[in-house]
Amino acid sequence: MEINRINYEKFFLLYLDRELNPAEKQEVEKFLSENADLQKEFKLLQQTVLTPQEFVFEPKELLFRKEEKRRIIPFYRIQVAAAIAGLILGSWFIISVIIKNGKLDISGGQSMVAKDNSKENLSKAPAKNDPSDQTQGASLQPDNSTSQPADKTVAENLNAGKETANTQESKTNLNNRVNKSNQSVTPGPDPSANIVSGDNNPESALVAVQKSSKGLEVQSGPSQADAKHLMVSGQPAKSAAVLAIKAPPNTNTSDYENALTKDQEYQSDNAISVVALNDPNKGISKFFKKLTQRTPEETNARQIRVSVFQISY
Amino acid sequence: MTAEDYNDCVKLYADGLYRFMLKSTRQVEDARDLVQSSFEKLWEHRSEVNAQKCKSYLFTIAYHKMIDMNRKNRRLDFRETVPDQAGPSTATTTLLKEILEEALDRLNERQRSLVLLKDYEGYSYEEIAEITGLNGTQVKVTLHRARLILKEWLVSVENVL
Repeated sequence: MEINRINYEKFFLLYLDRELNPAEKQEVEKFLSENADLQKEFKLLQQTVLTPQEFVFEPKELLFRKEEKRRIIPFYRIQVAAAIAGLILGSWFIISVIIKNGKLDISGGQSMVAKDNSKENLSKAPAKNDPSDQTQGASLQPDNSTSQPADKTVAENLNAGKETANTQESKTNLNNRVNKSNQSVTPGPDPSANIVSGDNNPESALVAVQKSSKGLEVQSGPSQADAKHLMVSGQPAKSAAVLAIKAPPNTNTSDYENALTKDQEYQSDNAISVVALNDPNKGISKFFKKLTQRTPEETNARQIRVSVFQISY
Repeated sequence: MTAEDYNDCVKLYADGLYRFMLKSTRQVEDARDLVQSSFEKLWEHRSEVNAQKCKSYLFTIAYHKMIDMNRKNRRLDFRETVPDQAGPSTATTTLLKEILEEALDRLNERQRSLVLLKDYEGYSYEEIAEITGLNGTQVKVTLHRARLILKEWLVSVENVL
């Protein structure tokens, strides 16, 4: 667009605002020189342009900032921390597994007690033998009188229910005691008893088996060294059949006692529950496999074998 | 931008921003508050701001903060007289400045801000448009109207004198 006397004001303002290119500026200057009467108006517009004044903001320290130093943790420290955390977690896991394995496993409310006899208990158990226990409930007796295979005897005893207990040799029973009122187990030694497990390992597990929700009562006493027995007993009256299999002498039984004492919900009707400890040769497993025609479940093959069965009568 | 860039920005533009705010608001305390809050926001968003554009960022923030503040409190009285920190000048130029200062008060908020941004900071139409959120044409038209108002005021004063 060419500057003329009609649109000159716009060009004057653009000139003063420094929005024209050099060629346009020259054109405005040329127009002004050719139109002297408009120079006054140009000067008036030029006076509207403000002259910058100097102002100082003080103090500027109000505005200055410093970068906050962020603490940088060296990578090796992170590694050390991770290693420590891993050790703690690993220790916790191991301890929890040990504690878990040390407790009586109770599945589905079914009752079952298994317990190892410690050497201490072996020495103390005979003193604990109390014939009066036989009057309180089922007594667990070594089955010295039979030449039958152990598992067969157990099956028969179980089927016989309450009549399976042998009473004559109660003094040699295990000193284990489990009853419904306090769910306690008192271990008793019988180092020679291992028939039920079906293996020849003298350190086979102790197994107690109970039918029904009634208390499982296992008694033990001084054992006979040559006993080849199946310890099966039935509680009098309403009590159910109980089967106990000798535990190895080197197993601590206190944990199981405590666990059993604390747990009130481990029994149920029409059930046989089994917990076996230290059954490395799977003798107990074989026995119950014959008994129930089922393969026991192995929840912990290394230290504890836990098998739970439910049998319909 | 780094903390060092930010502090350089303070050194370079704090005074200019303060002048812009002072001329716009005519109130010393408001101008100081606006400058501080603008730099505060720049510091908070320093990671998102290019160091080379910190000036326009600052003026944009300050301008909008001033608009918001003026909308909240439409105060007409001056709390504190704007100090004249200009250097020594002749009586004519001093008189002209006083007249122009008076003339600036006759402009509306937008016109005054645009004149200040144009004359004090030397921004182009496009830059002013970016700062104020207007388009280039609006900036040009607004500025031209402001110039004509100032010119009319100067003519009227000359007639009186």
